Amino acid sequence: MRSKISRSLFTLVVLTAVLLVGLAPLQAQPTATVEWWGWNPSIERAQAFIDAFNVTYPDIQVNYTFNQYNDYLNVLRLGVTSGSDPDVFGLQAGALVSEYQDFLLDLTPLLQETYGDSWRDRFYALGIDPLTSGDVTYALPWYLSAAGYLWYNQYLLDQYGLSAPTTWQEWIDVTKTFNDNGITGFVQGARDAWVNYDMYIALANEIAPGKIYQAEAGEVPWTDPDLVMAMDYWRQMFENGIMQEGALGVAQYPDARELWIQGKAAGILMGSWNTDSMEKNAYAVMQESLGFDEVYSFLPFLFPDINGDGEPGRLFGGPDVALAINTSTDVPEAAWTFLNWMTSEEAQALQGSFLNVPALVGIPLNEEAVNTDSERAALGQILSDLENSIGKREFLYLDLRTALADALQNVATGVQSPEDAMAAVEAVSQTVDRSGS
Amino acid sequence: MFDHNRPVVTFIAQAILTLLAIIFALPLVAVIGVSLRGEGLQNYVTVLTHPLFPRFFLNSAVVTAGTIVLVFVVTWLAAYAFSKLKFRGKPLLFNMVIMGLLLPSIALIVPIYITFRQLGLFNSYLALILPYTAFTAPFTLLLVRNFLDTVPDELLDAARIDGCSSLTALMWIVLPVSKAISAVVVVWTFLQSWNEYFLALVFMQDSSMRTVTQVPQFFTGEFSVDVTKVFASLVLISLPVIIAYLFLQKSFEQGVTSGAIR
Amino acid sequence: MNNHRTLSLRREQEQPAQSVTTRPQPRFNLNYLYILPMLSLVVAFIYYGIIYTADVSLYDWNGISLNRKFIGLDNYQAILRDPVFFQALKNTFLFMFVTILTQMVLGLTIAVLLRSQVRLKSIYKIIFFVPVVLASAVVSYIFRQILNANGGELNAALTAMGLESLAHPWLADPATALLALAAINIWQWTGFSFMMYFAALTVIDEHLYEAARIDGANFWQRVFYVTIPLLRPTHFSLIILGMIGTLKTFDIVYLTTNGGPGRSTEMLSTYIFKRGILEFDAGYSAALSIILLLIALVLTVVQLRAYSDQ
Repeated sequence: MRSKISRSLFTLVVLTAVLLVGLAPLQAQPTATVEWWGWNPSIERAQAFIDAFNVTYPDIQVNYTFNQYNDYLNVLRLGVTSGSDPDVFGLQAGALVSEYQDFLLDLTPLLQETYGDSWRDRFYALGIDPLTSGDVTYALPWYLSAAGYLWYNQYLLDQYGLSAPTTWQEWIDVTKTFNDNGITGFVQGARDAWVNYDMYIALANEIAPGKIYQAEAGEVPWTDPDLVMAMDYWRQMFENGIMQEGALGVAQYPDARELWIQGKAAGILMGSWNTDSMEKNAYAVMQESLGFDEVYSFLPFLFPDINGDGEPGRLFGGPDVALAINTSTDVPEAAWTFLNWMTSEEAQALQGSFLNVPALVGIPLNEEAVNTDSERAALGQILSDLENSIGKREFLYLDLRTALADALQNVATGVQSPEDAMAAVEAVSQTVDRSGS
Repeated sequence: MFDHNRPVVTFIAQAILTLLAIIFALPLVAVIGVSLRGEGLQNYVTVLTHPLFPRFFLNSAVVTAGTIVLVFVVTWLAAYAFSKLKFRGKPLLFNMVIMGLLLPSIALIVPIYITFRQLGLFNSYLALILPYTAFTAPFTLLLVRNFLDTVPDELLDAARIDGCSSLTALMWIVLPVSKAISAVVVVWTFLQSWNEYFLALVFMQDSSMRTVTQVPQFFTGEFSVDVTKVFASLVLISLPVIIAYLFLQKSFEQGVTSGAIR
Repeated sequence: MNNHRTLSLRREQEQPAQSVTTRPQPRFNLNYLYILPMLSLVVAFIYYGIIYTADVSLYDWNGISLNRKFIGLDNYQAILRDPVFFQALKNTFLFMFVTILTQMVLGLTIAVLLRSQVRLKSIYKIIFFVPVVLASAVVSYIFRQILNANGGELNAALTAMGLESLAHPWLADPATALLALAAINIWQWTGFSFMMYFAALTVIDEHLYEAARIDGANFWQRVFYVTIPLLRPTHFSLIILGMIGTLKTFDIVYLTTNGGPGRSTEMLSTYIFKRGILEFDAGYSAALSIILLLIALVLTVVQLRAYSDQ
C-alpha cells in the first residue's frame, strides 16, 4: 500500500516536472550576440542604430532591451551583478558611474590602440571628462545634453503678442497673460525630482554662477545666502503663478510635456534634448496621436536673468547617455566593435540627424529635420550654448540628491521654509563621504 | 434580518445600493470612455495588432496556467496533509508556511534573482511560475485547510474501508466534493499571476517573454503617451480576469463561504 | 496489504480528533511528502530570501560593488534616527486604519443590503467585485488619469456640476495625496470585504433573527446585536488580511505618486525600494525589510491572540 502511495505521488511530481520543463523555451544562441540595455533610446530609435551597424557588421547581432528609467535601475543592478546579462549598457554620468565602477571595463587601452594617445580630442570635453578618472575610462558619451532652457511655443507667443521672458518679472507677466487667456503659461511636472533639480540648478547658477558645484564638493555650505535665495525663488514660483496648479502631481514626461506639445501650455523647462519636439517626423506623429493641426515652432530660450547682471542663464550638462562595457561580458571584441561604432562618425551623424547633440566634435545637427527657419537657427545656437555651459547636471552623491529633492518638495508644499530646507540639505551634506571620488 | 413585508425598506436598500454601485462603476465607465476617444474602436484594433501583443498575451496565459496547475497541486497536497493526516511538528510547519504571506515580494527580489542565476532560469516561464506559486500558495493553503477542517473525517473513513490510499482518497473522495473551494483557488491564483507587475518586469528581460501588464508601457512612447491606446490596452488585459471571474462566480461565492470564514 | 500508516481501517467516529491514525509512527512518515512541494517552494523563495536579507542588513553595501563592509547593527540604529522611516511608518499605519475600517463598513453595508428583497442583485455583485480582479497596474493608470489636476475626469465632473470650488489637485497636494491613495485602495478592495461578509451572512441562521424579532428587537438592534457579533471571524480575517496587504502595498503607490509629493505618501515598501534600488543603499534597505517583517509578525500574532482569547 505504501508503494502505491509513493507511486501515485511520484507520478504526480514527475508529471508536474515534465509540464514545467516543457514550458521552458529552448533558445538558440547565435555566434556573436551583443546584449545592449538602456532606458534611452526608445526601442524604435535603437533599432535604427542597430540596422545601420549591421550594414557594416552583419555578423554581430545586437539585441536591445528597453526599460523606463526607474525600472531600468532595478533591472540593471540585478543584471550586471549577476554576471553576464548585458554586454553593453547605458549609464548616466555622475553617481551611476561611480556606483557601477567595479563592473565597467576600462576602455582606455582599447581607445589608445584604436585612435592613439590623442583619442580624447575626438570628444567634447564636456562629454568625456565626467566619464574618466585618472587614466581609466569607464564609459563613452553617446550623445550630450544640457539643461537650463525655457522652451516656448512661438506660435502661442506670437498669438498674444508676447516674447519669451528675459527677466523674472517678465516671466511672471508672460505666464499671467497666458493663464488669463486659458492657456497654461508655464508647465512643470514637479512630481519628478529631476526637473525640480534642473530648475534649482538653473536658479542657483543664475543667482551665483557655479556656487552650487562648490556646495556639492563641500567647499561652501548649502545654507549659503545665495543658495537659500535660489530656494526662495523656487518657493515664490508656487505663489506668483509661474507654477501651474497641481504641478506636484504631474510627471514631466509624459504629462507636462504633452500639454506643452499640444499647445495647452506655452512654456516648459527642458534642455537640448527637447530638440526632438522640433523633428519633422516626431512632429507629425505627435500631431496625429494628439489630434491637433496648428503649426507650431518650438524654440529654446536661455534662462531669464535674475541677478540683474544683464546676462541670461547658462546651460549645464554632460553626457546624456554614456555607454559602458560590462567587465564580465562573454563577447568583449564584439562589444567593443559595437561601442566603437556607436561613437564613430557614422553613428554620431545619425545622432545629429535625430537632433541629438553628438558627442564627437564637428558633427552638426541635421537642419533638414526641422520645420521652420527659426528652428534651424536654434539648432546652431544650441551647439554654441552647449560649449558655453557652466557645469554639470548630475550630482556625484545620491544622498545629497535625495536631500535636495526632499527640500524642493517640502518648500513647494510649504512644509518647510527655504532656510530650514537648506539647513536639512547641509546636514546631509556633512555626512557625505567625499573621499572616494 | 430584514422585515420582508415592508416595501419601503426594500426601496431604501435599492436606492443606497444603486448610489454606491454608480460610484463604484464610474471609474470603469471612465476607462471605457477614454479608451474610445479619438479613433474609437480603432484604438482597440491598434493595440490588438501591435506585433508583440499576441506574444505577451500568450506569455501571460502560459505563466498563469502553469501557476494555477502548480498552486492547485501544491495547495491540495499540503492542505490535505495539514487537515487530515498525522505527522510531527504540524502546527510549526503550518505557521512556517503561513509566514510566507508576510513579506512584500519587492523585498525578496534580489535573493530570488540570485537563486535563478544559479538555476539558469531567466527569461523562462518558470522564472515567474515558481515565485508566483511560492507567494500565492500560502494563502490558498489557508483557505483550503480551513475548508477541509469542516469536511467530516467519516467521509474519509468510509473510503478507507474500501482500501483507498490516502492520495486516492484525496483525488476521488475529497476533490469531487470540493469544487467550490477549488474555484476559489483557481480564480485567486488567476488574479495573482495574471495581474502581477513587478516580478514580471524584472525577470523577463527578453522582450518576447514579457507579460500583459507591461503592455501599457509600449504605448508610452518617446514622444507622448497615447492615452487612448493605453486605456484600450488596460481594458483588453483586464478582460480575461473579468471573464474568468464571471465564469466561476457562483462556485467562487460558495467557496468563499466554505473556506474563508474561520 | 493493509499496513499503510496514514489511513487506518478502523472507524473511530467517536474520536473527534481530525486524525485517524493510531498506529505507531514509521521511521519516515510518508505524510511529509504531501507538504514537501509547498515547503520547498516557501523555503527556496521566501526563507532563503529572509536569511539573505537579514545577512545583507548587517553590511554597508551599495548592492553592486564587489566589496562590502560589515557594520553590525548600524543600519538598524540609523533607521531609528531616520525621520523618513517614521514618516513612512506613520503613513503606512494611517493608510491601514482608514482603508481597513472603510472597506469593512462599506463591505458590510453592501452585504447586509443585498440580503434584502432588492432586485438586480447579481448586477450589484459584479460591479462591486470587478475592481478586485483588476491589476494594480491597471487601477493605477485609471486613477492617475481620473484624479489628474488638469483634464482629469473627477475635476471635470465637479466643474460640470457647478462644484468647481471642490476641484482639487488630489494627488499633488500633500494634504490629500495619502487619502486619495486610500480612496483608490478602498475602491479596489471593498468588493473583497463585501464578498467575505456576504458569504458569512448566508450561513447565519434566519431563526436567530426570528427569535430577536419576537423579543422585540428592531432592525438596527438585530444588526448590532445579532449580525455583527456573529461575523466576528470575518472581521478578524479582514483585519489581518488588510494589515498584511497594507504592509505589502507597493504597485499602486509606485505607479501613482511614487511616495510624493515630498514624502507624504511614502510607504515602508516604497521606501525599501527607493533606498535599495534608486539610492544604492542595499544594506539599509535590507534592514528596513527585516523591520517590516517584524512589524507584520507582531501585528499578526497580536491579532491571533486577541481572536483566540475571546
